[in-house]
Amino acid sequence: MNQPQDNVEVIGSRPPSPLAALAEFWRARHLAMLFIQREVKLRYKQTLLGVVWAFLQPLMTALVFALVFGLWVRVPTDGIPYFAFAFFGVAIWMFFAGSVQHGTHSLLANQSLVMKVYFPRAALPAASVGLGIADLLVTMVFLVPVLAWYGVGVHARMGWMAVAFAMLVVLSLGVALAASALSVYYRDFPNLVPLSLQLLMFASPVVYPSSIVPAEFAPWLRLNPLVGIIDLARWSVFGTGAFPEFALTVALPISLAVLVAGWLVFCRLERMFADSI
Amino acid sequence: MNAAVTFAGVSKVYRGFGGLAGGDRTIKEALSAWLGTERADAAEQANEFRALDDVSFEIAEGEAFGLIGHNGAGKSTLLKILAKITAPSSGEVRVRGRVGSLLEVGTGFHPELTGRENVYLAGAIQGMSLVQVRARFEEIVAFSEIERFLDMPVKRYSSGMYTRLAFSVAAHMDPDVLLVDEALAVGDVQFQRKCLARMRHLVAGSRTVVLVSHNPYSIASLCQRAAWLDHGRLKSVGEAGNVLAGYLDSIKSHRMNHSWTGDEGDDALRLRSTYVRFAEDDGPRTDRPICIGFRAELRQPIRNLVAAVELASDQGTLLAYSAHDDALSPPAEEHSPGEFSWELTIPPNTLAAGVYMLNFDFGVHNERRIIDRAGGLMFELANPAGIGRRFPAEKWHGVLRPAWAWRRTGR
Repeated sequence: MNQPQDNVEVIGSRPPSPLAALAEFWRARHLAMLFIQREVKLRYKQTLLGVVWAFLQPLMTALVFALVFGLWVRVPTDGIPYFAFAFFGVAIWMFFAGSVQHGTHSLLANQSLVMKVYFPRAALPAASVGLGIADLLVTMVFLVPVLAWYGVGVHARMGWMAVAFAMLVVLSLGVALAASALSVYYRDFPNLVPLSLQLLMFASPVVYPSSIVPAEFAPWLRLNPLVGIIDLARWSVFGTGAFPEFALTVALPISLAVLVAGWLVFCRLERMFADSI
Repeated sequence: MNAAVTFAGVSKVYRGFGGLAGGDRTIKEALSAWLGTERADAAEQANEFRALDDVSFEIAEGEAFGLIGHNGAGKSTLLKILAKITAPSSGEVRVRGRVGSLLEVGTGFHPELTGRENVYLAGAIQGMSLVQVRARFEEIVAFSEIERFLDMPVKRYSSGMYTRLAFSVAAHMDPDVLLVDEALAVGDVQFQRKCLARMRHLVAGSRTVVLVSHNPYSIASLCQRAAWLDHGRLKSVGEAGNVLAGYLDSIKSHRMNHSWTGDEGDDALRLRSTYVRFAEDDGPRTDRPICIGFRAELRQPIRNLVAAVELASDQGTLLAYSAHDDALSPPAEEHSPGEFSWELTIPPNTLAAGVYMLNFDFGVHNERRIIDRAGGLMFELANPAGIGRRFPAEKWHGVLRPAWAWRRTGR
């Protein structure tokens, strides 16, 4: 054994360190890209409307919300036209919910792969989030003219949009990682996730603005990082009200913590996937 | 000599709530186990299954290494650990370089994607970088012989085309340690030859190859060293010939049996018994007819039912395959429910002296396999007086001892 040991890998009973796993995932990142491509191709194969489906869902949902909450209930929106307000919130929400939902099933749906070949499994839930990004970009193409029609112009504060978007990706990835791994072990999870998402939507300012939340609830509600993310994104586009500082002081650290926790959970469970799935 | 792979005290234990898999728990079960409300210890101990038990050995760099053992001996668990698909429960494995596996054809293939798209996806899943796939793309396609259909979804491929492309991707991974399950030599005979040649090519280059096979003969011809696993334990390891000799002896002493009774099959068909019968007073010998038969129960009417017998040498080499309707015309017939039995006769002076294995297959023609290699039998033929007694040992002069007619045609 006089050769350097650098290319010797030890397969033991203990999982590799989360950092080593991260490095391995990074080396195989093009695999996640291929999974995203696969999903995109599969989704629009043999469909008539193709990519239009990506924005039709948030559009129709926003229209229904505009009718119910905008016209009938008359939810105040700090002067923003309700449809633009809701379309924007719904697009962000659907990114989160879609990524988490798809991510939850990502390992179970690829059972045969997980059981038969080794690859950094995190590529699967990561691809779910990537798919959400692709959908959101398509939605944006349609959202921009809608906003322009409502008189929203380009402004420097829109740079914050990138920050909000990055936080959204971080949060979704963290939740998708944990949910995908736990679903392999506990088949309750795939049932639990849609229910939680439904409740979480009403705990997030999707159909209403944060400003109508009573003051005694607001600090608690802000523990939900989606509140900060959506408020920051809305502020960057519409510029109504004050800069939501709590997005950076509360939502940002929580989102990062969720990603770290999600990664740790995933790494801890990853090695036993093939035995449990 | 450097070790490419080192197994050091590797064990793998599966614990189950009922089944062998550790998962599938609901949160309720997990909570009650965690709170200690469920006295699961004793039950879990009973449910424990040791797939591998303290296995240690080394595989040298550039060596072709064979793994042999009965079904359930732990061969596939061992490969899965080596391929990082599952983790050992204790002990560790050290591997030098990248491991690639040829354990399943078509891993990563998706029916809706085209052949081209699948090559890239499957290549990436099996650990190739984008650059590597691109560099080998032409080679992979040429090997698979499906150039014309590259841009067609693979769901429209024939199963032959599909396996050829899938094998092609796997065969061009170029890892430092290649894991092969021999069941993989797929496709038609010509392509099988290509696959074997490819394996030999890898073995000949200084590649480390780990070969799992049910056929001791192919391990003997490809591998320098081998390990024999038995019920999760390492029974022996060393020079391939020695290990195989031990393994074959154990088969002979344990499994020489002339009849089988059991209950195998599905809702439509149950196989109840099989037998091999010899001329009564003489025992099994080459110059007497050999009768092979089975009894089965049909529970639903089946059209085009096919019963077949597979005759193999003690080395596992397939010698003959005979279906009950081979000589019937027309072959298609409806079988009605109830018990039925068939028997075939091998004429005298067909097989040489030696040990033979029989297995029974049942299926619906061109549709599905109902029973795959069940009712296994084993028998040994002696050649006290018959044809070919001059050369009785099967391994020197072939497996057949036919009574072919000779006549003098010249001085």
